Amino acid sequence: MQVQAGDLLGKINYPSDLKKLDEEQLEQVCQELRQYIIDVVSVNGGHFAASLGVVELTVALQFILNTPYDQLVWDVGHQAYGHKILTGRREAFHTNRIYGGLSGFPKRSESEYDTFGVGHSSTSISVALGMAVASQYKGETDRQHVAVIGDGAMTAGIAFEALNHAGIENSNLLVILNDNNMSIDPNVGALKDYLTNITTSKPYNRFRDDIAGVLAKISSIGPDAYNMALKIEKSIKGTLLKRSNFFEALKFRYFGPIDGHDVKHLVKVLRDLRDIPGPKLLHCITTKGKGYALAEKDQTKWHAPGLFDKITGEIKKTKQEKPQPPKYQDVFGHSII
Amino acid sequence: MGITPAMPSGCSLNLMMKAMPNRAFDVGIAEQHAVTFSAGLSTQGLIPFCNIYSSFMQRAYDQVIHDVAIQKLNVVFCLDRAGIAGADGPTHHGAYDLAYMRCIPNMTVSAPMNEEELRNLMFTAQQDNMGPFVIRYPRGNGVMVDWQRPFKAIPVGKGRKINDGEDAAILTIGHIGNEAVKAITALNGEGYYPAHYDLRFVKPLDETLLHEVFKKFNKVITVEDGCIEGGMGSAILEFMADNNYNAQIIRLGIPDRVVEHGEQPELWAECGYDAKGIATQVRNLVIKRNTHTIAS
Repeated sequence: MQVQAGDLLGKINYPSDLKKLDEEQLEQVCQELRQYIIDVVSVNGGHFAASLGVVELTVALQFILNTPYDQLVWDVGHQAYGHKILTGRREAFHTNRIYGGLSGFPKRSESEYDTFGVGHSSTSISVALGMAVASQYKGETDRQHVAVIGDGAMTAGIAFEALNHAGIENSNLLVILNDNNMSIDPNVGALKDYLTNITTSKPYNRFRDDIAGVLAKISSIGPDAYNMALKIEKSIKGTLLKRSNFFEALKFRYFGPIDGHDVKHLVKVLRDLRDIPGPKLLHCITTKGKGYALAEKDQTKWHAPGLFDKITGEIKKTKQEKPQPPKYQDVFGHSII
Repeated sequence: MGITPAMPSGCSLNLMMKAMPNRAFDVGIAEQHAVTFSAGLSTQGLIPFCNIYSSFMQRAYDQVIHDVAIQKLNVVFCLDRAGIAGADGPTHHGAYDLAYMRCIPNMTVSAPMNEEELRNLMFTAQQDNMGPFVIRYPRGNGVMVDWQRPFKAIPVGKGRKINDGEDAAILTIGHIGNEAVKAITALNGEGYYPAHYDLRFVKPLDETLLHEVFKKFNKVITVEDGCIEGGMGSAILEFMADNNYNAQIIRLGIPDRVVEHGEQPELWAECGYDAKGIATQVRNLVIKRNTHTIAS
């Protein structure tokens, strides 16, 4: 079933169309993109909550970056529906995950905007670092490399391995930590508590924007001023966070946490970060299922809900006359007890 | 003990996490850790059921070999989403596990054809000194409505005959065997009567059963919801070579290419091992009989 896109979204086939818009119009684009995802997924099925959570991030990144020259890597790829819609695949989006149709994940053979084939989690930092080091080797110093990774995916070993390596390479890498406190199920582990600690550190939050803003300005003046600012920034962060920042300890420049649903602010921050060299991490707080109340409330159920009535939120189940055989998964779940 | 790397609702371990929270662990997206953590539990005499999607287990291969198999530890690997996974596509198809597990020493590799078999394999796997034990099953529904039957141990490496037959034998492993059942039902109506064996185990192979098959049949079709290269069909060819059997073999399974996304039945059909595909192979392989001489 073909779904009608909103006025602005209907004119966006590629990121170049998005860039023609005023910054003031981006909020409306986000609204229309979110609605489009809800409209299509409700009748076609697919992953849902993850993509709603990164609508603003998707729009802001495509507005600021020069894709596909700039390399944008989505970790796992559940969340890349908005990305697909803005990069030449709006008309085909209703075939998402259907036999012969679009893939539910980014896929190199599908689009030059899909920089890497994903599906399993936690690969994005390694890949983006590889791309960044390649650009550095080739002298393409203007090229941006961005990995968007969730806090769930960040708990896997390979993500730590990549952070550890990236810290000693001086290549142009931006890791965006999409912190929604969830995997498919609620996220677990000690890193989660650490991230929550940062997020709720009030004095730090008050200073966070000033730091990013000041740095961006100073960095354009000259290297000395830039280094000085670096020291100031470190001492402020150190004092305010009381203990050393995990990412800073791995030689990343840490920015955030910021509201991942404030598209204007995201645009401003991403623009500033573009001019700061080396490995950087931007911590964004987002809500999985953002903009669809039921999905925000029960994020596991709405990870991939199947077909649903977008007005009532009723998830459609085929009614069966006779009792049906159970899923093997449930047989396992019951039998192990 | 139950262990899952971040898939409690997907693999239904959430039921155990609720019922016995001190015995069920969600360790986060960390397959390598899930396997070696299970190894640690096992060294202390506990029996972990480490439930990992087949395609995600690919991330923990060294841990399976180095931390579990070499040391013969009793860890039960429940490989969920084995075979064609469906709409998630090639990154999620559990295509390779039969091949990558059966080459590891000390490993038992099994697949249930229905719910009762899954329960019995789970029951079997937790018995003493079983060593590393793989149970692989697909995403989605089984075939039995009345599935909560009493547990029974299955002798390790013992397959079963589903039905006797003439002219050709179909060997299957796991849930996809039900497609062979459907194919045979259709074929019987047309005058074809292939035999059907459910191997249950790809390792160890049921050699008694295979000797029976190759003494009786010289046309054999193997069916697996997994890669043809290195899978169950390959194991059968190895058995034939080692025992000097000659037979015409058709191996059905996931071909040596990337299979894209779609519903499971659509992709089984594309790969030629749904009921229709199996039936076609039988028709091409054997001459139709006018009378059926096997007593049912």
